[in-house]
Amino acid sequence: MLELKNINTYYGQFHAIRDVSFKINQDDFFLVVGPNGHGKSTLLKTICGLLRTASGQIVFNSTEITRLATDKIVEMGLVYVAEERHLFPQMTVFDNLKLGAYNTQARAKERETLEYVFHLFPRLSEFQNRYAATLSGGEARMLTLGRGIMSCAKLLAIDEPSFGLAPILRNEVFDKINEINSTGMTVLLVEQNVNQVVDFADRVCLIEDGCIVFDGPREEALLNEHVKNVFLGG
Amino acid sequence: MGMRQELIIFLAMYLVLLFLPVFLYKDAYVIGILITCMVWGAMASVWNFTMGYAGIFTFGQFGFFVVAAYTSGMVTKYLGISPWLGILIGGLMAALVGVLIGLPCMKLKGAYIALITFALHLVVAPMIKVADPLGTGGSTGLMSIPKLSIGAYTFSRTDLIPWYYSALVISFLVLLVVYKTIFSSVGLGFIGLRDSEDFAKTLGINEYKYKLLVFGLSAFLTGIMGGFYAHYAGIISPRLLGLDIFLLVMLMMIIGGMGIFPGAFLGGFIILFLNEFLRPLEAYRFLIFGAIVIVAIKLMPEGILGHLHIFKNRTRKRLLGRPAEAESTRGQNI
Amino acid sequence: MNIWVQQIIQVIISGIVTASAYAIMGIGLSVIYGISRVFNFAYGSFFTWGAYFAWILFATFSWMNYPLVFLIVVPAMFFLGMGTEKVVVRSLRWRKNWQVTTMMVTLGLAFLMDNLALVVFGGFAKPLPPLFSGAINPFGFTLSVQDLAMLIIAIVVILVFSLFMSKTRVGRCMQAISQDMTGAEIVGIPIKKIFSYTFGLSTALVGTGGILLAPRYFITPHGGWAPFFRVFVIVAFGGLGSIRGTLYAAFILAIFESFVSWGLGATWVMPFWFLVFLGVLAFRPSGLMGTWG
Repeated sequence: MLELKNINTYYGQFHAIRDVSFKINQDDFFLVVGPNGHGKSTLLKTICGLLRTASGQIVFNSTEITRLATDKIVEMGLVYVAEERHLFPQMTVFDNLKLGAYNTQARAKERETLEYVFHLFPRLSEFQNRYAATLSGGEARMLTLGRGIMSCAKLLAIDEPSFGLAPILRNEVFDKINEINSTGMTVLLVEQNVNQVVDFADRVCLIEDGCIVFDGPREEALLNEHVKNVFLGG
Repeated sequence: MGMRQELIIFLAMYLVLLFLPVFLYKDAYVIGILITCMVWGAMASVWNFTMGYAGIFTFGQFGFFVVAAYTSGMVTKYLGISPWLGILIGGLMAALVGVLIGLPCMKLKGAYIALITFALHLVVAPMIKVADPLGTGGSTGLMSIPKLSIGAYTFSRTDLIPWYYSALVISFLVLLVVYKTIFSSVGLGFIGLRDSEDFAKTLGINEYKYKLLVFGLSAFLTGIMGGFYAHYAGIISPRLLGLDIFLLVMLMMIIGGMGIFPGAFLGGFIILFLNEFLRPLEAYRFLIFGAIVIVAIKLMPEGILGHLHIFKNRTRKRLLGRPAEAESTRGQNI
Repeated sequence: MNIWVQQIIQVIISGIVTASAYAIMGIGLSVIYGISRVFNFAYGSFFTWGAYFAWILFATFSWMNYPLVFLIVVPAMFFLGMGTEKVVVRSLRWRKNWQVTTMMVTLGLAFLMDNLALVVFGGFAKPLPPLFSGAINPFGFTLSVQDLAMLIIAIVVILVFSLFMSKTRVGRCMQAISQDMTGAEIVGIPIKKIFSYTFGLSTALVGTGGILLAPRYFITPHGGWAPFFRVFVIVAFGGLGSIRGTLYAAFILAIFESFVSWGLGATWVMPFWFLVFLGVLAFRPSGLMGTWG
């Protein structure tokens, strides 16, 4: 479904993503792990068009999206859920969710998707009229994820949704993501708090220093010494 | 290592200017233009340095120019101070104003400094008019500003050659200071800051202090040219703050940004001679200049910071040792 | 009624009328900064050209009337703005320090537009016919029908604008971008297209202001700078990017201006605006920074 070929991204002069290639298949739960600052977020931003690659190709559902603007990528069904959230502070939870369904496919199914999101996150339904700026960390993360789901994406690229959350909330978030995945949405998840989520993953990919150090099925990952060290350390 | 190319070009330009009057002394008209070229060119160069190298986006340089011009004009006219000293006082006054404005401004992000200094530029003219009772001459202008003199010889309005060489020396000194600052540890510190604020800060480089220093320095240097101009022209008025002159000098600065250090100074000559050439066209003149500004900016790949790129790579290794992380390469909001 | 009170109320009315035109233009400037972070130094030139377009229509067609003029000129200004954005501003955005570069480019554009007007129309001030003639006398005050019309038109424009922003999809996109640009990208909003519309919206608004104010003041090629400065001060006072702030500021400052003009004379009007600006810089620079409201 999504294929990266030899992607290189720079931050100014800094070579953040070095020659990264991997494939994600439909319905996969693809987990990307790695130490902080080693390129995980940069990778997601590059895939979703927020950053431009210097070289390489990104192919989504047989279409090359390497130089495409973000809005076109979203229209194709690849949606990013940011670690920094980027919610609309002066809009209500409801309006934020509504905007999440901006793309044409999502607009048609807006009402159903909204119900689904409220079913997944009942608390969002409770405070749907609150302004996004007034939400707590955990609530905001729920909203960010909810907004991403509203897009009816074919592939949801989620960046550290559990960051800054209490362990119980973290588990809840991961449960929900797994639930979405089981309903047919392909998930690309970047995480640091690996131990709680690795069981849901189909494939695991370890990035260090902007390079892929390991890429394989979950079972292999759990047996790999290097990967295990990172898990324990991260 | 050999001299830097910037220094070579700089010295070569002044060498040419040094001997030009030998061929042109009969043509007072051209000499006059050359003097204004040196004044505005030097000013554009200081502006270019402040914007392009130090990264301070100021539109307030004319404010400094005029403050110094009026200060020098007034202290020499009313208090009888020697014009040379007057120029220095003018420069210092401009520097003072610069530091006062810089204190709150240097903390702000780039575009806000631009907006505020531009607005300040718009404010200076009415303030001069309002201060008429204090002797500024209001909208008609400050007149009969004393001429420069060396020893017993007072410059005259008809023989421009002494003015020419004074302008030469003063602008040379001003640009020399600019040159030295760019290539000094202060300048390199700035390049480090431009590349990576966080990393440079860990090295103990205080951005705010540096910016304030440079802002004050640029105000001083601009003021020196302003002070000189006051005595050269003999009459100054709020017209100096007109947006037409602003546009011309801005163009010089933009041209300067396309190349390396003395580029803006050279730009002074290009633009002012073009200005003379286009004068018969009247209204079309500024129409063309407006269009040139748009085209020039669009043609420059990195904007006025173009030369910074060449510079950046040479000095980065020297100062930083390793590449640092900078902001995302996409457009940023404030 | 006491003659003083009557005079004062008259002055206030005059201020309110002017404020309405400034409010429209202020919204344009605020919006374009708030949403696309662009500061358009050619704003005054668009003001002038809006008025000139109206003049051309009146001068060419003797049967021309104001409703038609608005119908033709406002969309024309909108498309002119969109075109300008595409040709002049858009490619600058991905450069470093694009905001300052945009200021410089639009300054150049201002000169181009002003001098083009000078070349095309000449330096003599052009008049626009008044919208309406006559005056009404509610409660004994004098209000020219012209001024009343201006006030009503401005209020209508402001209402339409706020409905546009809150109810239409494009309007909500604009709000989203102004609150979090990256968030808007993430959600799939076509940023470039919206920037284009925003620029067009701002030029349409300032063009409307130009047509409204032109019957009062004659149209001159460089006549856009004075209104531009006023609007700049208003927006700075109210908070760059804040629509509500701009509206408050427009009314407060225009009424003050009216008093200054009445009490001290017309020559004190520009110094008044400059003083206000200095005040904003000194005491409320956050006015310049922008607040969201």
